Amino acid sequence: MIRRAALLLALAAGLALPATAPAQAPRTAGPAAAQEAIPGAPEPAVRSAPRTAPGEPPAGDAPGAAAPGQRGPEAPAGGGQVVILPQGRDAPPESDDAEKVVAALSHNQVSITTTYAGSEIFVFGAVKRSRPARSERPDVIVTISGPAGPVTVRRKDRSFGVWANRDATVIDQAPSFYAVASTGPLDEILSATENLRHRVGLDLQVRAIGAASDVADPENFREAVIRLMRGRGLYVEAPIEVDVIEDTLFATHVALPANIVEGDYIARVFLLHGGQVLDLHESIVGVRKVGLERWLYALSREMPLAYGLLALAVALAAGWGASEAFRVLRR
Amino acid sequence: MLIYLPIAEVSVDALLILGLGGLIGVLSGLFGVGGGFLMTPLLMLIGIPPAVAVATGANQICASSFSGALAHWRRGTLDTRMGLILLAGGIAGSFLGVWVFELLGRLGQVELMVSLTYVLFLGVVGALMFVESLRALIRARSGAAPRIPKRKRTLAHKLPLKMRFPVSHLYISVIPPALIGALVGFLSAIMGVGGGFIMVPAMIYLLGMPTSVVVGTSLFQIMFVTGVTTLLHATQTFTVDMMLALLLLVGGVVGAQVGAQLGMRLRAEQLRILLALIVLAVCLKIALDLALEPSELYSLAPATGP
Repeated sequence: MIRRAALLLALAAGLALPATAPAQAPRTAGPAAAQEAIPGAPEPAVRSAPRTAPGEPPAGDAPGAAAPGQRGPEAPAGGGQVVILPQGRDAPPESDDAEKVVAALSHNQVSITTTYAGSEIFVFGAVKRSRPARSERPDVIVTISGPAGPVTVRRKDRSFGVWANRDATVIDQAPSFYAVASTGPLDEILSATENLRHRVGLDLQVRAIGAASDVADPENFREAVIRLMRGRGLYVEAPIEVDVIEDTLFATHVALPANIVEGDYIARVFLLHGGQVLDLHESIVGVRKVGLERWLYALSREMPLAYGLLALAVALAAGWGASEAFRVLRR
Repeated sequence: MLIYLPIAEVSVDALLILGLGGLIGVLSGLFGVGGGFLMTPLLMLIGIPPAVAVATGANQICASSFSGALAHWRRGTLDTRMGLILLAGGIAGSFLGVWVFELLGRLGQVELMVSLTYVLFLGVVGALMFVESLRALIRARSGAAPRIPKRKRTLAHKLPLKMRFPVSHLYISVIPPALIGALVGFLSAIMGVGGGFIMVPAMIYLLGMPTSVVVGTSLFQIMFVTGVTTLLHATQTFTVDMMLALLLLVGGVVGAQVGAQLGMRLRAEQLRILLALIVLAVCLKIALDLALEPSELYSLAPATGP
């Protein structure tokens, strides 16, 4: 807990100010920039600015704005990672949804070494506002998903007195890892439409499109994937695992188990209000085997014969070594 | 101490694996069996994917049987000529086995096939050995005259292509040993076992070899068959986990030496009855798994086609 609090303080000091200042600076050249750097200052220019899409001319309600060319596209403004969602653009300027999320991960690279036994990723961030915070605290959902792909699911059935695999189907898309943490139960803080759009819920991550042709009850097979992956600790749902401090800072940790696979893991941070997604931050966590693990895996795939021979050589050397060692011991 | 396995892609306790390897090694040195029939199910039990368990098991057994075979060779209880005949059949069998393994993997029936063959072979072999060694033990207890190994004239004596095996004091046809070798090679590939539990009784009862020579010869053949199986799995199914094998075999080779020493202090009948009991216990466990309704009917596998 202390560690997390310290992290959040560092965040408040370091993240909130520098992240806002350079973001706003190119938009309003001149003395206004300094003023805008203060988060929460009621400045109309800032409130409407994030609504403007790249390339659009400056909106009329932005008094402090300079020439169109100076109006930077939105993506770089947020450090290259904040994504402005299309539905936000048409929202009235008076609404409070000019809130953005600034988030970061404790590390963007997970190395699977020989002694890898799982790791923990801290996801932390702040709500960036252009006006005073609303009374209620913000809702945040954090998801981390591993590389997805098709999975074969088989079901045992009794035939001739023995239990054997009979029905099988392919679940088209199932992530190899999926964790959701949020400030509250998903069905309370996220509308069904938004859930569908962003596929936040675990249930929406596992998709079976072609399964219907193989088996009569594809839904059972899809549920089995979720159940089995949960049992292995690869699907994790933690409804109230995101801590929010002072309605602005948030932090959570996602534990990556020891049995994860290699690949690019996508971390998403959703900022929500009233069931709607206000902002979304995406970043990538690279999970890679390193050192001996990397070398062995690469060898086994690229030069299988050499790998097999090496495996044999190691086996024979160990067998001979032990035999000799015991002979010496017995004397 | 947890350790991450690069091919299996799971993290396991290194000490657990070392202990498992050691246990199997003792059995290997004691009975001349590779111990795969115990190892494959045990590896699956601790969360290793079945395909990796089978292929890596073969690699480990190769190491432990090499260690055991060396010990027997020095003691002169290894019939090299018989071993080579068994081997020739074994290599042919293991090619066929890897092919069948791949086919079954695509059909999703590896598990069933492995379980059924286990039940069948372990049951028959275990029961035969148990009855025979029990009878021998009772005879020895009752103070009857020590059993003189009768030179039964089996089928092996009648078939053509006869050959002299001086170490085993036999003059038999090479066809039965080659067939036994082929069967063992086949089983090695699809069950991840050395096949010692088939070969040891087969050599004793079908070929009439002296028990003292059987163990070393069996280990000799197993060493080569599992070596070939390892290579085939490494190049065709990519399921040999060297890290797992290394841990298993460090425990295994030490265990094998302990087992070989232990074996010299036990009587042949006692050895056989012990092995028969272990074989029957494993058989019963697998049979129950097949017959009782499993708690989880569904299983996952990487998609390799429809």
